[in-house]
Amino acid sequence: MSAPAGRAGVVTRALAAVVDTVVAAGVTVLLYLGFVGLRFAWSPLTFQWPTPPSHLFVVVFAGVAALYLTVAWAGTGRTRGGSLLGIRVVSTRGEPLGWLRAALRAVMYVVFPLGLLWSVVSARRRSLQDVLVRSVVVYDWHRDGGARLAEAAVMRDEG
Amino acid sequence: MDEKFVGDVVLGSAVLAVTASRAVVAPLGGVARPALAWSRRLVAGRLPDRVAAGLADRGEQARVELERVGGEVFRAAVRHAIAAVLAAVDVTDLVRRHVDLDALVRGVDVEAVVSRVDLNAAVSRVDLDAAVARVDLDAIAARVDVDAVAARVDLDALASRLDLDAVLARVDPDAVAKRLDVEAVVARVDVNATVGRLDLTEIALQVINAIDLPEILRESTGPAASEVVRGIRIEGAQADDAVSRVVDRLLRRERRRGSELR
Repeated sequence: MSAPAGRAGVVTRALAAVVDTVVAAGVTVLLYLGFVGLRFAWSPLTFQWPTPPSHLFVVVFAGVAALYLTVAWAGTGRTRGGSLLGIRVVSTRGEPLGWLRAALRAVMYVVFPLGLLWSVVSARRRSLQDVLVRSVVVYDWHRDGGARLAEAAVMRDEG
Repeated sequence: MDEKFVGDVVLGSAVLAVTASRAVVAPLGGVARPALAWSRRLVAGRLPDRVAAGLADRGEQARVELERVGGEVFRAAVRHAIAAVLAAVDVTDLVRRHVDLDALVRGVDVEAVVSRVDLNAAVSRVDLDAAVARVDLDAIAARVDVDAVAARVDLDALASRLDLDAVLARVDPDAVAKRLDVEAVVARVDVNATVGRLDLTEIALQVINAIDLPEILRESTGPAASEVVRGIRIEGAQADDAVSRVVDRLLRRERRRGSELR
């Protein structure tokens, strides 16, 4: 099967979302461990393993996820999950999202991820967030940056 | 009565006789014969013991004196005689001519002689410092064939006997490092000459050739380029289409463009 064109469906996007959730959770854990390490380095004698309340974890995780998604979508339009699954977030005109729309989209996905399910019934495969910020998710199996360079190098090598 | 005692008695009698004869030489000359007979009887043991003992005393004294004087005279005479002989004869020459020294030496048991020598005592009497001071070590060293000596040395055996751990344990690395003038060592290294000998261009080209740049770039694209990722994407896209078909049918919608869009 050659690379598909057009808008990405719910399965691909849900898989990408799972990957991004894992990434955000990993970053949260790393932040927590870094905080613990700093505490220990600051005062090793009085150190006690901090046990923050669970809602603090949720808040930090939400913040991390929102920030991560904003940067990824405003930049290349790809999160790590999007890159893996070969999808890209663009505006309805096919241009990169601006910082504001990327941030709005990110916050809305963090607050109400189920909005993605609207893409199942949407005739144009748009989630609730896509409708609100006028974005679309398209298949894009092409590589970015250095990957394109590598592709060119491979072609030159084989040619 | 033993023989010596008898001799002493006879001698004592003679001395008494002489003394007596000195006192009464002529007048008593006639007594001599009977006195002699008497003394003969005395020797035969017929004289009374008291008289015999007195005579023996006298005789013993005289004999001792006679032996002493005689010995002295004899020794003096021998001394003079030997001196005279030696003055006349060259003994060394005599020995050299008439004595087979080789045979003599052959007969000497040198082993036995050496075994009787207390070498330790002898060595302890030697002033080794003084002896060594007289030795010209340079001259000796000049005569030594060091190569030949070194060829005979079994360095492996020597090294195997060395307890290197113990040696190293005695080495103080800090002290060694302190004595090392690193600045001086580095100052002696001509870095420019070293670098000048290197063909940097050639090295750089070799390095570049050794690196498979396309392969590295291919790998740097990571899992996104791998067949696994491609499979996931394909599966995902097909699932997307399947979901869309089901939803379209449920909603009785015309087959929408879906993934064929654009």
